[in-house]
Amino acid sequence: MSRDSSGGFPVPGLSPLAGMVSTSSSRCMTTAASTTMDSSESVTDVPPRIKFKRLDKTAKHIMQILDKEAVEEVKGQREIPDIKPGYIVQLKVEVPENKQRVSTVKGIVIARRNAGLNNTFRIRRMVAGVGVESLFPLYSPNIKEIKVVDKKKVRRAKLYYLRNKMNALR
Amino acid sequence: MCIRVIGASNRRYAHIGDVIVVVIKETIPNTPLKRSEVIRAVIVHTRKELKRDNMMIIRYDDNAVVVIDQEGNLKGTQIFGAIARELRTSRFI
Repeated sequence: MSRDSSGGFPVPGLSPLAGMVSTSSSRCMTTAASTTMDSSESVTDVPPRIKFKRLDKTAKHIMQILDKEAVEEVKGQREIPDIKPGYIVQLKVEVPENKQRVSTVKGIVIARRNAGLNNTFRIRRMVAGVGVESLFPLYSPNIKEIKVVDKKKVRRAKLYYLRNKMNALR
Repeated sequence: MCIRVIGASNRRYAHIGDVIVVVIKETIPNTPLKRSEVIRAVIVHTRKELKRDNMMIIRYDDNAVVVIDQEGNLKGTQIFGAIARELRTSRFI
């Protein structure tokens, strides 16, 4: 195994702690004779620092792989188009309580947040004279269908300025 | 204008679906409600986001209430504007 070749490979969490303990003990004693003894102790205690952690041991990497797998699984089931700010989008959202009605939501996408499986996007629409903003997870199972109706040219990633502009029927 | 939040004794905030006590500050003419009347109302729109369990968030552009009487029945006959689903599960319509 490759692990044996590095020679006494400790658990990565322990090595900085062992280094800290030996340096604090060397700081406490101030006489010259004892510092030489402590430095030799610290050399034998702390193994050589390893610059790169093994990727498959870090939780961040494992979470990234899990995230990608979950996204691929959802993408294989449903067809999810690319949604960018400025698109006018029509959604079919299922109501989980009743499970009977599929309501359509149509509005302009004003923001999109990329976070793996928790990709969310905000839609702004006018409902009966009142502006309503809704935030939906992109890969939510409640969203039955997403259809891009129109694309507007915008020069921003987040169109929050529309909140001040779109108050037509106040 | 909100005077009081119905619920616990020192309750600070009210969200969509909560009953509050309001005083009327201005009216349009020819309505049964007059200015400086103290009545109860239920919140239907807030600018603060309303979070749902499935990570959906709804945010209105205004703060709006619907006037009710002491028992919880509507005082008027029509409601203008959309109502969130949370009000259906509680005892209002």
